[in-house]
This record gives sequence, C-alpha cells and structure tokens, in this order.
Amino acid sequence: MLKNKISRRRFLRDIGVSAAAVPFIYGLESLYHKADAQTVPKKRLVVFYTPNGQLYGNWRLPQAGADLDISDGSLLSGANLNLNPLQANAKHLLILDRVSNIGSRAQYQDGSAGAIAAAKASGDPNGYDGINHPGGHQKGLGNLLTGEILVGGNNSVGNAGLGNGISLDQVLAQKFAGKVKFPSLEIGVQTNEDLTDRYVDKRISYDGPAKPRAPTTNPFVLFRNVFGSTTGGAMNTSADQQRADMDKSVLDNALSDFTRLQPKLSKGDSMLLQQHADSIRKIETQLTTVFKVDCSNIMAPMPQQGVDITDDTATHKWSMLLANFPTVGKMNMDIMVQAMACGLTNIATFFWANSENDMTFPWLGVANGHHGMSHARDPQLVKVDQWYASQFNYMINSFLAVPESGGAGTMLDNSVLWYVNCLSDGSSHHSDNMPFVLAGSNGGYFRQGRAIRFNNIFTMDPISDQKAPPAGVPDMSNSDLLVSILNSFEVATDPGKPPSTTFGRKDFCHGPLPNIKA
Amino acid sequence: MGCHGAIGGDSGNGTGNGPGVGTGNAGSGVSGVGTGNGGSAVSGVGTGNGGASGGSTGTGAGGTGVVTLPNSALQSGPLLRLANYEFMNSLNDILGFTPDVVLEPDAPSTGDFRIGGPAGDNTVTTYHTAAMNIAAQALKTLATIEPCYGTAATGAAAAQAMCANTIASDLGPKFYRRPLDPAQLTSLNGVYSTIAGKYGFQTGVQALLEALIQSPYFLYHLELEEESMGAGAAGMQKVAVTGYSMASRLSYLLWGSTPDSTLMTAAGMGQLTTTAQIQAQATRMLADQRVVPGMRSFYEQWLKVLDLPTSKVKNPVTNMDYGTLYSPAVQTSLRASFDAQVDAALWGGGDTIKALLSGSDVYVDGNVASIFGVTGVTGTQIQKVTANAAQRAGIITHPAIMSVFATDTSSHPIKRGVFFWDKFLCNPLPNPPPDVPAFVPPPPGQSLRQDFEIMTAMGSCPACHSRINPVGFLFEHYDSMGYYTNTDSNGQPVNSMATVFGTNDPMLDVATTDAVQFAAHLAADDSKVASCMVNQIYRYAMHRHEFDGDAMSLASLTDAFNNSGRSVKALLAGVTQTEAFLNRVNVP
Repeated sequence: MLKNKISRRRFLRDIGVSAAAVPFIYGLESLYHKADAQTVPKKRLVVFYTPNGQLYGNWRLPQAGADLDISDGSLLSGANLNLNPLQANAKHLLILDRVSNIGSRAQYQDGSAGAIAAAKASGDPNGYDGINHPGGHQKGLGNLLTGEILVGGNNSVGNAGLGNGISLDQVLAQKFAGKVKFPSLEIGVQTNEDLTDRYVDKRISYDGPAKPRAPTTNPFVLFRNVFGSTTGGAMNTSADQQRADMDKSVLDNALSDFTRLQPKLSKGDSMLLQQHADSIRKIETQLTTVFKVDCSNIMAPMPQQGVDITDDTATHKWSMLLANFPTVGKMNMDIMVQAMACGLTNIATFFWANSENDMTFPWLGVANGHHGMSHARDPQLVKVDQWYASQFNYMINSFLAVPESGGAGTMLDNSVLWYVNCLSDGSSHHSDNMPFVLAGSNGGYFRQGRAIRFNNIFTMDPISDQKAPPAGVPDMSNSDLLVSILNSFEVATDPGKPPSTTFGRKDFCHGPLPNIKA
Repeated sequence: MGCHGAIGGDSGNGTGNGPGVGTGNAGSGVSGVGTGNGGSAVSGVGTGNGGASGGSTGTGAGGTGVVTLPNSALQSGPLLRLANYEFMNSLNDILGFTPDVVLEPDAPSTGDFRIGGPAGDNTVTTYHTAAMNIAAQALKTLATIEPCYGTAATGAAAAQAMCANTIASDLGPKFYRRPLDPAQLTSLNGVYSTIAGKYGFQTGVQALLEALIQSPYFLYHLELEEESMGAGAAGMQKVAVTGYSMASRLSYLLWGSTPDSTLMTAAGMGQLTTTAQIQAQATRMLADQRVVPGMRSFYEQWLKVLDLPTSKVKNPVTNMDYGTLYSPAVQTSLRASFDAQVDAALWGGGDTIKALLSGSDVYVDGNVASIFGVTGVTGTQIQKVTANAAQRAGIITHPAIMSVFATDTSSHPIKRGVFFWDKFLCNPLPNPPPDVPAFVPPPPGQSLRQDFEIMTAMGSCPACHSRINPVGFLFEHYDSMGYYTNTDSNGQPVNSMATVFGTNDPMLDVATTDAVQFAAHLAADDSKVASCMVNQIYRYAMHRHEFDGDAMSLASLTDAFNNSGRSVKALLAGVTQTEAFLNRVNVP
C-alpha cells in the first residue's frame, strides 16, 4: 500500500505540513480506498483529554462576538492565549465557548431525583448556575462523555461515584464493532493505574453505568496489542491469526466451563455467571475475527537505552517516569494515528494524566504541581496549557500527514478531534465555560475556522463577573455537543435514520449545538 | 459557607462517606453487593431494589435480593469473584511470581472490604489481556514447576502432548481449587492440541495457561458441592460447608490466597468435615508465617492505607514542601513502617488492642525517621526505635494514616474524625446531606480548625459534626504527612484540645488535650475498640456487614478475643467456628 516517497512529500508540501511538524513522515495512507474497507464509515473521533481545568481568561478569545472567523490564525496569536500553539491550524478548528458540563455542577452532588428537583425549584441563582463549589477535580470526568451525573452522586468528598451511563466513544464504537479490528482504543499517558483511590478521576470511557474502560498507557504494550509485533515494519497478520485461534480455543473452554457450572447453581448465581458468559461471547466474536489489514512500514516506539522492551514491567516503569511524559505521549499518539491510518480503529480516547494530578513539568521549567497550580490560579498554568495545546497541534498535524483514500484530502477531513478538559476553572472546580475545541470537520459536518460563543450571558470573565442565566435561557451543555458529534457519525453510520436528538440525561440536553454544522 | 467543600486542595481518599456507611438498606441491596443506598459507587451494582435489574447494563446480577435464614447468622449472598488481591496472591502461589497486570477494581462489600463483583464486558477484556500477559511470563519459568515443559520442548509430539496433559492435571486442581472432572481435563487438553497442532508445543501450553486463568472455576469462589445441593430445591436450605469449599474459605480468610496441598489433601480425604477438623487446620495455618502477609489484606483495607496518596503539594503558607518530601521512596517506607508496626501489634503475642492504641515504639528507616521525629536512623532497613511519647501513641498517630486522611497540603480533621468513628468505634457517620450549603473561602488569618468550625456550624451540619470535629481536632498536631507540628497549614498555632462527644462512654466523652491523650483514654477502656475490631474482622471474613442474626456469634467472638488476652490468632480461630463461616444458605 505504500505510495512512493516523492508523491507523499509532494502531498505534505501541498497541504502545507512541513516535515519538521511531524516527527516522522507516516509511511501510510488511510485504507479507505481498499475494497474490503469500504463498508467502514469514513468517520473518526479522538477525544483528547487534559486535566485540571484551564484558566478561562487565557483560554477564551478576548474578542467579542458570537461567531468569529479565526481561520487565518491571527486571533490565536496572543502570547498568553492557551490556544496560541494552534495558530497554524486555526482553519481546521471550531472553538466552542460557554458550553457547560452541567452534570458536574454542585447541585448534582446528590444524585437523588428529589435533591435535583429541590435544587431547581429553589431558583437560587447560585444553586442553579453552578457557580458554587462543586465537589472536586475528579468528578467532571464521569459526566463529560456520558451526559449523566455520577452513580450515587456523592461527589463532594473523597471517592466520587463513577459515570452513570455509556460514553459517546462507546456508543460510536458499537457502530464500528465487527467492521474494524478495534471498535475503540483507550489510550492514556501516565494515567495512574492504582485503582484503589479516586477511581472516577482515572476513567473517561464507559461501557455503561459504573462500567469504566481502562486505558493502555505503556507504549510498548499498546503497540504490541495494536499491531501484533514489537518491531514495526510490516504488520504481523500471521500473529493476528494465531491470536484469534488461541482466543477462540481459550474462550470456548471458558464457555464450556460456564455451561458445566450452570445447572449446579442457584438461579441467582446462574444468572450472574450467564452475564459473564454473555460478555465472553460478545468479546470472543470481536477477538476472533481476523480483519484483513496489510499495513506495512509501521513505526514502533523507539527502544530506550537500558530498557528491555520485551519486559512489560521494565517498559511500564520507564513509561511512568515523569521525565518521559512527553516522549510517552508522542509515542502513544503516533501509535494511535497509525492505527487509524491502517483502518484498525476509528474511535479513540486519549487521556493525559489523571483528572486530578499534581504533576510538575520540568521540561517547561514548571516546578509547581498542576493540581496545586490550578487551585492557586498560578500564572504558570499558561505554560502547561500551551504545552498541551502544542500536543494537540502535533496530533492535528499527524492527521494532516495521512492522505485519505488515495489522495482525496487528508485523514483530518474525515475526523473530529475533540480537545477537552473535565473542568473549566480548576480553582473553583467550576464546570461552566468548558474549554472545548474541535479540529476536523468529520466529513464536512462541522464548520471550520470559527469560534462560536453560545448563550452570551457572561459579558465579562465569568470567574470574576458571575451572573446567572436569565430564566428560560438554556445553557448549552456537553450533552448537546455529544449529540452533535453523534449526528456527525450518523449521517454515514445510520443513513435513513433520523439523527439523534438527545444523549444522556434528557434534562441536560437541548439537542445538537446550534450554529456549528456546516 | 458549607460543610463539604474541599479546602485547600483535596487529596481525597474516601473518608467513610463512601461504601459501608449506609448499612440500613443492605437488606434490599442487590445480592448484597454494594450498600443498597447508592453510596458504593465502585461496585457498579445499581442501587437498592434487589429484584430489579439494577441498571441498563444489567449489572443487577443475581436477580434475587439478600435472603436471611430465620434465627441464624446466615445470609445468602451472590457468588463472588476473586478479589484482585486474591487473584494476584493465588497466581503467585501457583506460578511462583506476582503478575504485573491491571485488573478491574474490586467492589466494596457491605462491610467495606473488597470483593469481586459481577463481571461485565470490561471484566472479561481485562482478564483476557491479563491472561495473555501472565501466560507469556509464566512460560519463562514454567520448567521449574513443571519439569517436563523444559524437556519436552525438543521432544516428539506425543511426548509433548503427554507433558501438556501432565501440566493440565497438576495445575488444573490448583487453579480450580478442586479436582478436575474428566470432561474438564479433556477440554483443557483440547485447547492444547488445537493450538499446538497449528503453532507448536509452547504456544499450545501458553493457550492452556490462558484457559486456566480465564476459567470460572478459577475466577469464582465456587462452593460447588454445597451449592449444587440446593439447585432445584423448593426452599432455603442451611448447608454445612466442608471439603474443598472449606479449604478455600480457610485459605482465603487466613492467607488471602489459594489452599496449600495439605488443605487440598485433607479436603480430598474428607478431613475438613467436623468443626474439630476445621479448627485443627485453622490452628495449623495460624502457626504458619503465611498468616502475616495474609492478614495484611485485612488491615490495609480496614485502616485504609491502600488509599495512601501518590503525591502531595508544597504548602504555600508554611512553605512545607510536601511535593518534594512526600517522595515515592518515602511513600514506600511509610507503608513498610506501617506494616511493621501493625504486624508487631497483631503477632507480637501481647494484647493486640493495647498494642494498637498505645506505646511510642515506631518502625522507621532513613526515609521516614524524621517524620516520626526520630534522629540517627539511616539506610533503608526498617528498625524499631522509640519516638517521643508525647507525640506518638500506637498506630492511630502513624504518618501513613495521617497522610491518607489529609489534603495535599494540610491536615484534614473531618476526614480523620469520620475515619476514627467508622473504623475504630464502628459508629459510622452518614453521608453528607444533599442540602450542603455552597462553599465560601474562609477569611485569612485564622487556623484551619477555625475554618472548619465555622464551615460546619451551619444548618444541619452540627448534627454530625458535633461528633466528627472533636475527634478530628485531636489530631491537629499531625500535618499533611503526619509530621508532628505546632503550626498548622494556615501558619497558625495548633489547638488540638477538644471535648469528645457522642461515644456515651464517660471515660471518653471528656476534655482531651490531643490524640496521644485520647489514645490513653481509649487504652484505659479499650472494650469499644476491641469489639469494633472483632466486627471488622468478621465483616472481612464474611464479605458483608454484620446483621442482627450475627449478634450471638459476635458476642462469643468478643468474649473469646478478650479472654485470650486479645490474641488475633484466637479471634481468627474463633471466626472459623462461627455459624456463618461453617455454613451457607442455599436459595433456590
């Protein structure tokens, strides 16, 4: 499938991506021109998550206006703007200002219907607009992609509950199940794998209520799991066949054990095991289908000096060292982009650190911890958020570097990359004015090169100028954006079906976000 | 100003407001997993309403609510999966190494100890990934436990198949904790031969290992012989647990792991049937050193040190740089220090409760000596030294506990108070009410204690905080990491004086200067803490909160504990003789 190098270079030059902007020129193009891949909808989602909120004053554009043209990048050029590193790609961006993560507001600390009704009925502006102090950094994450409040709702102290519904990425993954090797990839960068504490802050993707999906963080394991080899080069499809045969045999044995057990158990226990067996059957089908993918020239993560890359414990330790955070992030982004280019998956969540973490950033000269800085509204946060924005920029460039379907545009054209956080202001645990940015139109669905400002309630910086929404004016919510993104897939995945109008809790959702569809 | 806004950062760490608090509804919870009031978020088992399906993913496994056998200490519960520590420990005992794999987190039982809850898609996926990684690693050392694996590698196909059969026959019963039936052996051999036929001997054995790890016979605490008696029965039945099921009960209780060959042999010979036989095995096991790491699973959950935070932050007011001081090496040593101190209390031969509540002997290495105010200790060897008796008393002032119940930058009297009431006095406080007022940052210039006093004086807060706060304030001399300090995180002088309220014990409900004096009061009248510890071990053993039917068992256990001079070994031996441990109730 390799194109010759000259045409690829010309391609990159034509689309304006300099070779230096991407670490290596992907020796790939997306596989949609292949006959066997044409049944896969040409749509992709990446949720690019960074933690601890962003200073709203540095995130939002200073210019007034509800619908700004940002395509020439000049509006992003302010030195103190968090989105400054994205200037060159501004024409691919859709900035969404003043959208709220409603489920994370304080009044939903208690999930009981009565408490919610009471909060709404009280009409207390401080209770209703969410300006008051929600429970913690950790909880917004469980609301973000599910559009639900947390299970149990006890968000205020210690361990918050988990997300209470299926997340958008998993709804979309179901549309690709059976068509691609991985319905979704969950990828983390130094996401703390110690699950004993604050579990909700370590998970963004959910199969269903309180059923979170764990990210893979170790690039060497991720690469092996995705490509079936450790060294790169040609994709090891014989390993795929072997793995599929082993899985079939092993899981069939487990299923025969389940069958053997059922008659010996009480009705309740039998049902409990039935659920386990059903999950095995579901996963077995996915695991044992060998997808015909023949990506060659795959780049494996570079081996690191002194680390045995065949030893998962050693690579895990290496990948969790703070100093390696940028390198691991880049490795995992490269693996993810290649997996998408190879047609192995269309849906990914990419999760930087935990939602509440106190990482320092020695490579930026930032010695204070991220969590602490967010509470102190430390001016150095700009460095951190600009660094994360530069990582998002790298991902955009990587998507731009992959030609789509034999030359008709780039992989970014048929993708939407969503740059999210679980908070807006880390200090107050504020969840209104979320820093949402989309890149890519997902097949022409989204407007590009615009900054849309919804619901112009806040005339100034709402952190210092708090105003409640006037009665009857809805807050645009993350749920609304979830619907929009879902719709952007449905035009291809569910042709003929009317687009979805809601996602998650109905009282948080007003239908798709207005004014963002091309 | 509100009661439950975080103050100064929030290193969090469940303070007892999570699982295990709301026990009142447990009877209607789904199959006894989760607390039935929705507080147990991690369990993923829906909320209340036992008969309901419990959520759209069908997590309400079991479908039957908890059923209690009248006039007994027996409650039906769902079939439990191995908790993660049981999974890891078992594999370590069988294969000789501790796997480095990530599993789905455990659920909390109604008694707030870890259990394996119902399985879903992600459970299956994580087991699948874990099994691949474990099997690949196991092959590297398999020849040391299965010698034929080394020799057959270069042998003929028939010899290789015979070796695979040997491995299945030997490891099968270890994984499944009961003998293989012929159909199981055939099935395992089939896995081997299918894969070996295409990909060779080693890959075939690898698949065989993966099959063992993912079998429900390994993954579930099956009490098959006993439960199968109930299948098809019309009503509830009390059934004595014996044989292989009892071997597992004993082993997972006392060693946190899979039965050893002695237990398996005894089970096979019908020698785990009478209470005397069971007691004899318990006595043997309690004399074995494996009980020390085994019971670590209990106390690390009871005292919440699994929640030790992984980072802290510099306090901008006092400039105490916890971000640097609380290094990974210090965290590791803190935990080792904690284990050494609890181990000494539990197994030192003296009165366990007195040892937990008093004494200024501490266990330190060079990493953590300064936190205890001890000088002159270097290196990484944990050693016993004596700390300042005015600053340290027993385990309750240990920096590991103080670090858990703190924020990134400060002490946290509320977390400490709630923890103490719940875990030492077995008198948990309810979850914060829904009408908690909004958080307003406190004015500068007052102590952290004053911040909390003002915040918790509003509305309905005092109903609980009148009990929580005094106990928490007694610990104000211990900062975010458990250093003893006279200056709090706001840079103000520490005031740790408080009048304890609400224990209904005149020896405890008195004006108290600090945690050290509180410990002395508790040690002088330690019956409350002793009976709480009995309850905690009982909850751990039975994978549930106690209920009315357990009253007689608990009373006799408490007597046995007290009469043995507070010997944990006597208490554990007693647990193995209780009605709930020796029996199960079968529900059709």
